[in-house]
Amino acid sequence: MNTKDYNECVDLYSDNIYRFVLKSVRDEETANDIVQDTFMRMWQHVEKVDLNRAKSYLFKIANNLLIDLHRKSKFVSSNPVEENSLFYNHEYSDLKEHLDRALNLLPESQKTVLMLRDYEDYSYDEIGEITGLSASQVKVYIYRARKKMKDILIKAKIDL
Amino acid sequence: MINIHNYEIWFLDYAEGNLNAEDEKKLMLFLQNNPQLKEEFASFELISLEKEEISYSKKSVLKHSDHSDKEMSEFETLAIDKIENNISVDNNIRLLELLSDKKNSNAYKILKLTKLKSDPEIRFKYKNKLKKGKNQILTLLKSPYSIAAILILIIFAQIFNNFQSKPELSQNIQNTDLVSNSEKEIVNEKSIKNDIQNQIVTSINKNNLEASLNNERKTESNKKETNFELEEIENSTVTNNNPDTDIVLAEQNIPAIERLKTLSIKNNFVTEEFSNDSKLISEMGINSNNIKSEKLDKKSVDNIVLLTPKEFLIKEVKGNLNIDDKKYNSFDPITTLMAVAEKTNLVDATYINKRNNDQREITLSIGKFEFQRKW
Repeated sequence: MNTKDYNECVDLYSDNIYRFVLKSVRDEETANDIVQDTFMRMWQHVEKVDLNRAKSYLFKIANNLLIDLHRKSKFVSSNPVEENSLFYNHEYSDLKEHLDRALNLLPESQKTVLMLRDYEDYSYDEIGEITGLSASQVKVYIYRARKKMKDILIKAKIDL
Repeated sequence: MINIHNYEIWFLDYAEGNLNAEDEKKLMLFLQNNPQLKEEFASFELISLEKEEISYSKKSVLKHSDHSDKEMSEFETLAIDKIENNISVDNNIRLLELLSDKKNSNAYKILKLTKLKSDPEIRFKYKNKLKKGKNQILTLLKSPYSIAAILILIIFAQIFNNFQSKPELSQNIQNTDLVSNSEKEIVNEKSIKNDIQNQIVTSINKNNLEASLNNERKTESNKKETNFELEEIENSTVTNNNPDTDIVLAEQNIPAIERLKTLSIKNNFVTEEFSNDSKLISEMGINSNNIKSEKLDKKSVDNIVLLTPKEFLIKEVKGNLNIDDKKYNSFDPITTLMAVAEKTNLVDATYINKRNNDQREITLSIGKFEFQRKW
């Protein structure tokens, strides 16, 4: 990949990476930092990166940075107190808010694979490559994530 | 052969029925010769374990399947298969059967919601920061704000160079016998100010004029390239291939009389003119809320004669532009701003570009007017 390819990747994928990271960390500044760090790391190895695999490569870096962040800050999205509060909190009246809330209550691994699946339309194999999981593990995580989200939404008694 | 050292193995084999008739005879003969072992031999026969009905109650926890989840029902599995586009024809039919149950039907509606949709409005704002190499400059030039900022810097650089190369400007004033020393200083200062202003206006107009003429030539490619006729320009439309400039040109194509009328009615020239002109504000990167202005008196504004770009171009080419024409007409908002500054006899213009981490601030001060943009 050359400089031009790299800059094209910025145009094509920085929004996707940003959305993915922002959903995970829920903080714009942190998300900006991670996106910049992601592209900086790709730039360091730009000549070795295959353009056709650049997007996956970026997601892989971003995911690794997120894992590091979660480890360092003990940043855990799912916690029992929050989950319980969902069912009694009438603040989340909007469907989108409910969905965001339910997504954030998933374990990080399930949330990650679900976002890659739905936002980026990746296959199980591709998600496996990004996350380091096997394709069957990815599938299991996605199924569990959908079921858990469904259960949360049913308990929240959302209006359809 | 059975002996005192291995008899236990023979006893066990006998108890389990593993000895043939000949070996059994050998064993019995051994027992007759060693009667002290008969009691031990009898105890071997008593040992037997009975099977107990003990079962592991959590087998289901240990089981695996493609998408194993101990609590996932058939309906949930099939419904998620459907959402994931992994469902077979048979399973699809089965799912339809299950969906006849209202509870399942509602659950399916909710499950479909778990298919996340990305929000295209969420965008990464600092793409330019990430870019590398010369493309960074090209990307910068796509932004009208950047173009405006670069234009201002170029203009000031040109002015600085021209001013340094023309010492005769002040020398002319010093050589005259008609003015006293103190008067010389005042005249000198004013001359410098006027010179700066005129050069600003002239350089911008010149650049714009050249750009417009170049574009004019491109669109009129069938016409002769040399010695273009003024009539041809009069009959043509002013076009510009630069989209950023197009905005300004299009905006200024309002009939001169209409613009004059607007200016005559409104007292507050700068605020009204710029806050009503969103494209112009956008071009300049000006937030109208941040515009600080001083009112110009109605009478002075009434005397301004505004021209359309085409009128301006024709007069410029014909050499008929007078001072006021140059002052208050131009192709770009920067020149107009400078003209406004001149109207208030202020020539001190500063351009400050501050960058603090991710915050950027551009302040354009022209005389008493200050235009500020933060992002």
